[in-house]
Amino acid sequence: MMRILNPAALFPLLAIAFISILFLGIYDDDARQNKRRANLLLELKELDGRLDREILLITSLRQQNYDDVTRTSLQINRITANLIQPEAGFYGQLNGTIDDKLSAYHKAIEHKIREAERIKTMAAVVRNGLNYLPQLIEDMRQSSREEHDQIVAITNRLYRHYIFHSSLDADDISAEIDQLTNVPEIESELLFFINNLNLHIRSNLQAQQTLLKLRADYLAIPSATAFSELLSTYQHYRETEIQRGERFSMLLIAVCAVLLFGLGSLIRKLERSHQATENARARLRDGVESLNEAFALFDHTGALVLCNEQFTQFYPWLEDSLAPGIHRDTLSALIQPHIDQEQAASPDDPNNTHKLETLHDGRCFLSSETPTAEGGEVWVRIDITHSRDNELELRKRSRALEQSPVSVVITDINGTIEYINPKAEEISGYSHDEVIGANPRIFRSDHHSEEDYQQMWQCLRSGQEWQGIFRNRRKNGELYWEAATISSIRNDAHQITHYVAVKDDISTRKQAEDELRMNAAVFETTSEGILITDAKSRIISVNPAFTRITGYSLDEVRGKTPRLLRSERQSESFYKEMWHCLTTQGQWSGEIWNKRKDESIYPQWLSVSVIKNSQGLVQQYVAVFTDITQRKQQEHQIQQQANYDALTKLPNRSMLKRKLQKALFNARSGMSQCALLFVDLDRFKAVNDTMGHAVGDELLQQVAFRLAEQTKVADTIARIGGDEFIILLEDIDSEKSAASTAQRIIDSLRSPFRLFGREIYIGASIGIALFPADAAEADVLLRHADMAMYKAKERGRNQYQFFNAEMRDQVKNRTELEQALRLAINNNEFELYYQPIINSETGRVESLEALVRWHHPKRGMVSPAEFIPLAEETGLIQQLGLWVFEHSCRQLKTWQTQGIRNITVAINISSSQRHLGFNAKRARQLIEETGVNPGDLVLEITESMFLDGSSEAITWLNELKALGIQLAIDDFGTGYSSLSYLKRFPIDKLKIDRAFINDLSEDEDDASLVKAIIAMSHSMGLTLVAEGVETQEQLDYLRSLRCDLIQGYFYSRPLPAEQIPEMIDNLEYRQREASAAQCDFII
Amino acid sequence: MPLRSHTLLLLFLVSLTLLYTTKPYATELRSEPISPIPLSAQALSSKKVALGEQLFHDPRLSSNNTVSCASCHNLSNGGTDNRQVSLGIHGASGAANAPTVYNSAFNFTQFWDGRAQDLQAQVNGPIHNPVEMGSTWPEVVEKLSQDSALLHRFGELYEEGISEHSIRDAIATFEKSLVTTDAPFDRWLRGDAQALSPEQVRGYKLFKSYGCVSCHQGANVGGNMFAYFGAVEDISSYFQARGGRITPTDLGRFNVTGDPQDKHLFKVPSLRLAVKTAPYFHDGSVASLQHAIRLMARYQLGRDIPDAHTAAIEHFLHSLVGQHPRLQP
Repeated sequence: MMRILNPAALFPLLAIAFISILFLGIYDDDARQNKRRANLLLELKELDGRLDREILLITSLRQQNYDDVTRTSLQINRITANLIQPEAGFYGQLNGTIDDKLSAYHKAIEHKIREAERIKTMAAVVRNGLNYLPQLIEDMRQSSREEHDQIVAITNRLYRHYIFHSSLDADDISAEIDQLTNVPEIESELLFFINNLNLHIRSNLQAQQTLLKLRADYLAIPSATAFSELLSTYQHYRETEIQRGERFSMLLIAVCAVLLFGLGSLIRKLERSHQATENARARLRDGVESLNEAFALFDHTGALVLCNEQFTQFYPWLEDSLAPGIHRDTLSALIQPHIDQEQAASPDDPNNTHKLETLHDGRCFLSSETPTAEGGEVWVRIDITHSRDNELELRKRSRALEQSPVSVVITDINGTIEYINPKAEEISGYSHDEVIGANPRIFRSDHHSEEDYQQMWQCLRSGQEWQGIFRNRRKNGELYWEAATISSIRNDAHQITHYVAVKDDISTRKQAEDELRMNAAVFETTSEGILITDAKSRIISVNPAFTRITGYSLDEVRGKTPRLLRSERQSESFYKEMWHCLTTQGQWSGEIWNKRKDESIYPQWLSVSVIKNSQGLVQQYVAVFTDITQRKQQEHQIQQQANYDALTKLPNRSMLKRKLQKALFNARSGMSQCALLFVDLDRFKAVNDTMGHAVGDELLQQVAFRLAEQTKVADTIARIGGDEFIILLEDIDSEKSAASTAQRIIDSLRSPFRLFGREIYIGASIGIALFPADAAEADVLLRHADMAMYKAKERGRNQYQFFNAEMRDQVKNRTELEQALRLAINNNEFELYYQPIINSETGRVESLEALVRWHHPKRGMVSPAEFIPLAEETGLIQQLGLWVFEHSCRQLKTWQTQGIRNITVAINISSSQRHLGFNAKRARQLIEETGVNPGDLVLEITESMFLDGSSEAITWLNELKALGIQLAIDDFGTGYSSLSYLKRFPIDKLKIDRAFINDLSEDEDDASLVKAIIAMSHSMGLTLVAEGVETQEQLDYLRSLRCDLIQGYFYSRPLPAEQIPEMIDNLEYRQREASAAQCDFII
Repeated sequence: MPLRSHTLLLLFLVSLTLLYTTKPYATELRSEPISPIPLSAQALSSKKVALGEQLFHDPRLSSNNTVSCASCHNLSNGGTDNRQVSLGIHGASGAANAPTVYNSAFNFTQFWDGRAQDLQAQVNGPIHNPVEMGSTWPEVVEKLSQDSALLHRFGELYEEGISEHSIRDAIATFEKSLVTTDAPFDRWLRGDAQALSPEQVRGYKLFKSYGCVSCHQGANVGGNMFAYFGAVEDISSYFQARGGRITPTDLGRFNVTGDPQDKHLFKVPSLRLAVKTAPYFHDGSVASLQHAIRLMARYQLGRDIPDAHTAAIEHFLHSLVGQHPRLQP
């Protein structure tokens, strides 16, 4: 290639250089340049001529106006510079001769201009004189006539001289002027003129001479010569140039022709050699391309010369880089990152430099990098991926068989064992050597019949695969379950040559399956919802109970997170805590509110457990939950019952107390005040009695409703007893607002209630206590309101009453009394009085009712009506009751020793005594201590005790009764008990309340009521006692009604114990007298 | 309507006829050493004229921004400052009397001694003269380049933008526009016999017969040649009378050529605006025009002339004043 290139490259270069030289040789500055120079010369020539013309005119005094000459001078000045300035493209551009000529011409022109200026100045001087002389002559004429003609003659000669230029004239003029000036006597004025004339003419002549000389000088300036020399020199130069150009042109044409010929042959030569090279390259490329191997050739510098298509396919990422010229190190660097592993193909043979390249994509190349003769390198890559994969595959299969977790047994077509794998050895207990050549029968147990095996063989011989379960026997005799798949192996001719049995020991699997089945049954049938999620909380499975509880089927929730069950009733922190618990402790349980599919929210008891795999990573979460809606409801109900009145749904007493305490706390801290309104319905009892409980209940509900209407939402309304309501007004401005609320309530309750088709009128009394004015404690406040309510009731119905100073005094009084009462027991200030109860028929004193009296050291006698309720409230009643019981017993004993027999003592037992712990045990203890006969004791118990009606009360009574004590109901008729109701209690006596007896004579109703009570009690076997009998009429009447026993002032007031024997004597004596009288009367 | 149109047309034709019949002189120029200033001005770029005018009035051309061209060449008042010598920066006094810029384009050289070939070259003089503007071209170019509006205007007109050449060219272009036309004398030359008063005609005749016209000829009535100050009478008596030393300025063209022949050789000044440009002569030592005429007669003619004649000549000189928009009549 270089041999061809060298002369070929050199020749055109030389030719081009030669042509350029020739071209430059003929290339004149170009026509324009020449034209410009010619123009310059022409213009200068023209201006030069014009200047000459103007100067001639001026010197001949034919031109007075210098504008034209000035203009011409200026133009010449403007362009003469171009003659000697190198930039103008003339001077210094051509040759020295021309430059000399240019300078010479330039100098001449400049000289001319300078001379022209002098001529202009001098001409002006001449003109000046010529202009002035006529004026001078005119001036002289006026002063001198004589010389005038002479002067005119001189002047005329002067002007002739100027026109015709005669030196003779000039001489004559000088002579005449001399003559004129030499006249000796001349007047002074004339002298001035003559002198002036002389001066002007002489200077004029002189100027004229100078001007002529200047003109001669001007004309002598060789500008024309200089110009023609310049011109001819330039023309000569041009001619030479043109001739030279022509010669060069001829030469150029010749050279070009030769060059073109040479170029043509060179191109043909190049074409041919290029073709040959191309053919060689194509053959080489085809050869390389046809290789299966990747091939790349590098020259001695390491640059890629060529590579084949395979190379690109072997290394596809190199496709863009594989341009010829790329360095092999660059390619290596590009290939290297893709190589997974590189190793020597034959590590044992140091002469073999082949390598094994394993790429990341799994392909494996055998690579060789061999040096070439010229110092380059040849890369060859053979793809051995396939054969290596095959080898690996075979090895892998063999290993798979060896390490298979299932047993593999291969037999020949006759069933003779040719191979068993280690697993089969392990399971069967037979070693490989023991079974080779044997028949699989050695594994058999008796579990399967011969027919089973025959069927199997039939199946196998027909070429089908057989699947089934064997119960086989190990070498040591153990039985085991094996799932087997036996299939035939065929050769290339499709003939069966072997059988292969793949068997799996399924003993444990069978066991696990059983367990799984059980677990699944639990999962399916349990009533608890179960939800299983994966580690990312996506639901995997739910059980039917889940679907039942939540409404979601598995398909609806699979893949979602349990978040969709969230009710938003729990805060985010709740869940955070739950997750914390789950991650730290692995499980969490608690109550949680969730949402069903139908959006309803329900409580559930949820247990979540984390299931971890053997690595301790979370695998699943299992959530088990029960719907605790019902339990919650029950709890709520219990809560409701404990705190709310079942009938009106209003808070009950205990709830009220809590609310009250809270309200008082708030009021205390807020420095506000509260009012407590104690509302008691008037006439409610009557309604309840006359119209039944159903109406009463309905009425209470309506009352509750009206109370709610009259109060604010913030106010608390509570029902604390049958017809007692409490209204708590919090944060009131003044007692006025409490009063107005109370009045509104009264007004609203006063209007009729519509109940079961009837109009019912009730009313209400309200007591009001204020916090903090009236009490500081909740209990006290309630008590004060209660007290105020009682006062309101006393003042008449439908009233409200504030707790006031008077009541405060009462309370104070009561407190003092309480103090005194506590001391009284210890100080023995009590005394028992006894009132006789007399048999109405016999007049005998059958019983004495013990009545306690208190001798207060300062107050004197205190009424039982005053201190008994106080004792009951304060609990002192227990102590007092026991004191009464004990002393009554002792007094009875005393009387019995005094000879008063067949008499009983009636002792009052307060209902609160039962609550305070008085019972049969305590009674027996006292009876035994005092040694009285229990049959001589009557315990009088108030009706309210029986109202309770509880089984505990009945038991209490029965136990007392069992001691042998008689039981009486005191104040019968004031409560709500009916007679039939009494049957349930072990009662011996009834004591009719004194209220009935008082009105007996006046009130028909009471009379008939008493009559009915007596009749009823007789029919029930009860003894009847009438209290408060004070008159004979009452006695007679009761007698007529066969009332059994009479008690009252009619017979005796209560008396101290010591007066009792005398009182009995007197009464019985009176009775005997009366009987006697009667007898007498009868007799 | 048709009537009115006819009337207008008639009026127009009559005016046209009058216009042509009343200008008989238009074609017959009087043959005199003085020629009229051409009525049609040289074609100049109006933008360059405007830019030149702005620069002409721009004091930034002086080193301390106090002196502009217009400071000494007051356009409304004859194109000079009417001072004996001009005041430059810091109140410095110049060496020569400022000639008028009006019609300066007609001068064959510039300055009294003709040291500048043309107006462009003339601009260099006052810029560099330490008692005039006292500046340098780089300084002026740099100062003007700060002015963005000016930069823009130069950019529009000159490829090179602001440079000493473009500044000179703009100013020179403006100065070329300062041509006073249609002077009464020009009208007279063009044939209007009524343009001059008899006194002015008498003055012109005297102007010629005293020989003044020998030098003060051409369109500019001077300005196209050099002449010796004291052509006939020895000028030393002038300097003696003036007093003070003879200064280099008094030597005239000698300063340029160094040729002893050229001592006291000066460019002949134009008399076009002579009546407006007192004081007179290169040294501005003569305040009145009549006195100047008298001195001219003395030194250029060698005699005294009657006052009546100087007055007549002065009358004639008044007829030389042409018109220009910037010049107050």
